[in-house]
Amino acid sequence: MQKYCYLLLLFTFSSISFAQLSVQVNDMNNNKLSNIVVELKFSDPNFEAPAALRENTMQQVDQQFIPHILAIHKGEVVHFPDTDTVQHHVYSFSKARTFEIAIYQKEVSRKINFDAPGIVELGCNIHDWMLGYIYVAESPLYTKTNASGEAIFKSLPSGPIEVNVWHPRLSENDIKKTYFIKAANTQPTLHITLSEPLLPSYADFDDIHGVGDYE
Amino acid sequence: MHKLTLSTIAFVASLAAQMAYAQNVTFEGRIEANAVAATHADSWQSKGIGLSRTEHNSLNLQQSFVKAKVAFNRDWRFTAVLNAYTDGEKHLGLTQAFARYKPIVPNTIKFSARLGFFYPSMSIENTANGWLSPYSYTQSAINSWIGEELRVLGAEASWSLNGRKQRSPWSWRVNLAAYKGNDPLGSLLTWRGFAMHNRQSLHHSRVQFANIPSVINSTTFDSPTWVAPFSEIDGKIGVYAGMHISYLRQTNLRYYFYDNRANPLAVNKQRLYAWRTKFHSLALQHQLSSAWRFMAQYMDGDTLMGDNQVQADYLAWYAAISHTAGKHRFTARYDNYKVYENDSLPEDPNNSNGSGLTLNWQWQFSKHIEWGIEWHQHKSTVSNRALLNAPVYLRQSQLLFVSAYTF
Repeated sequence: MQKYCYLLLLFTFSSISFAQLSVQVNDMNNNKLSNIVVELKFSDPNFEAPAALRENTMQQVDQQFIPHILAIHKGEVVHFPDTDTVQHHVYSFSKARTFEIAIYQKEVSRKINFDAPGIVELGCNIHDWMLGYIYVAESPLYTKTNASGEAIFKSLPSGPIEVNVWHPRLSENDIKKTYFIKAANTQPTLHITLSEPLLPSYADFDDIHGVGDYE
Repeated sequence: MHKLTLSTIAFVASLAAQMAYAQNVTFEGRIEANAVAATHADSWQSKGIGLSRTEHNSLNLQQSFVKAKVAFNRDWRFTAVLNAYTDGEKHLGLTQAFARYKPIVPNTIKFSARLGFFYPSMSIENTANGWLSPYSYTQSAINSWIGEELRVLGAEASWSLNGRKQRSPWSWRVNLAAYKGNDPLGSLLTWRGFAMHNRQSLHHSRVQFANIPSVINSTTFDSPTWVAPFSEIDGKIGVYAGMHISYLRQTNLRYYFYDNRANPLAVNKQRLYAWRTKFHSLALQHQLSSAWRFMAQYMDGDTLMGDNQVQADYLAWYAAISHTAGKHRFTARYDNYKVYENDSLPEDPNNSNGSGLTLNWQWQFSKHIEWGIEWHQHKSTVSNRALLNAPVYLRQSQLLFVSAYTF
């Protein structure tokens, strides 16, 4: 009887606060995809995930945005430090956040607030090929897949979960899809296989240095 | 034109200085010093027949410049490059001074423009600050000539498409320009021939060359044996058109057609002629791998002065390969050129041909300091050397040890 009690206790305990969810993202050929943004939303209106706001950094190194994709929670701040050997004129025309970091003023704030969820595409008006993204998540539960194509979320409560994925190389259809899970404690792993091929990678734009137009 | 150039540049510079007071201004620059073991031969700057900037074993200030950039507002930026030399007639002056208009717009095809005194972007060799080459200290014959005789005072309009933003590997740019000045372009090619060096002419400077009797002689040209390359002589507007196409950033092809549209019969008070000079230039850069880069440029053109008194076609090309290994870069370049006349004045011979080999090793020792060694050989045959009782054939070589400080 005591054994059953322990089991029951363990089950209850885990179902309340220790459920873990692993989201595995693969392409059509079953290759594991890293760096894919995975965002979870709980349909339970009473659930409030901890939302400690962080300060984030989008660097410009060797005329590239690093990281290429930065995932943040809405309301967070991103710093754009001016540490590269050349000057950058960073801007965005995205609906989620339109801004520029002026280079024509002596003292300018290099901190930008991102209050609205969505995708922010970054460019540089001096180096046209530079491209970077900020994924502003609506939910505080988001991360990027690791080298094994896996996004791991810990301490999830029970309840139905919606899962969305995003990456600039995913097709519109794959981005629009929402995956549903009844509860993390009953379904600890979600396998997502893309329905369409990845868009071409132009990361090669970043690989070459010294090809410059005259300034 | 001289006054026009000076006053325009002075105006733009003073505007820039005022804006700099209130706005964000940045300064960058570089100083290069060399120790050289070189074939003894007086250069064109010393009225000799040598085609290298170095004339004998010596220690020299090879380069020194400061580049100032001022961002006026979100769309306009101003750039000026001030060079200092110890050789040549003038020792301090501007090599570039221009404003760039590049609005931040979400358009797929973006418009930008340059106004002022600048180089057309036809070289894939001179991509470092101050129009220097990041590959070698002695530049190709084509770009040595561009650096000393070609610059425009005018306006360039550009339309460009950045492929990456459109999810395409292809990017392109079209440049169209109209300008004044640059009328004597071609004088050095026919009266001296191509040279290989790294001295860019200052905007108000004269470039000397040997006292060729047929140039000085009152029965032929009665002209000075120097050229002020950026002079306006006939009042006509010159043009150029350029097209860049890139595949990713791996391959870059640049085609230009340049025509100064000068009136070859025009001559100024100093007896400098306008030379009708036009050419096609095709430059290619291709990344063979992350460490190996291939570069080449081809130029084919002609020049005409007077009533067919000087008419010459010219053809020049180079091919170079560059290897990067960590902080070291190795570059080898072969140059070849030919100038061949077809005019009515045989007493003024203009034919020349030559070739060059340049081997360079640069070590980026720290963020600011670079060391380099370069061996360069130039073989040239210039027909008008006979008028100076000098052998028409000359072989020059030099070994450079360079230390550079960049800020």
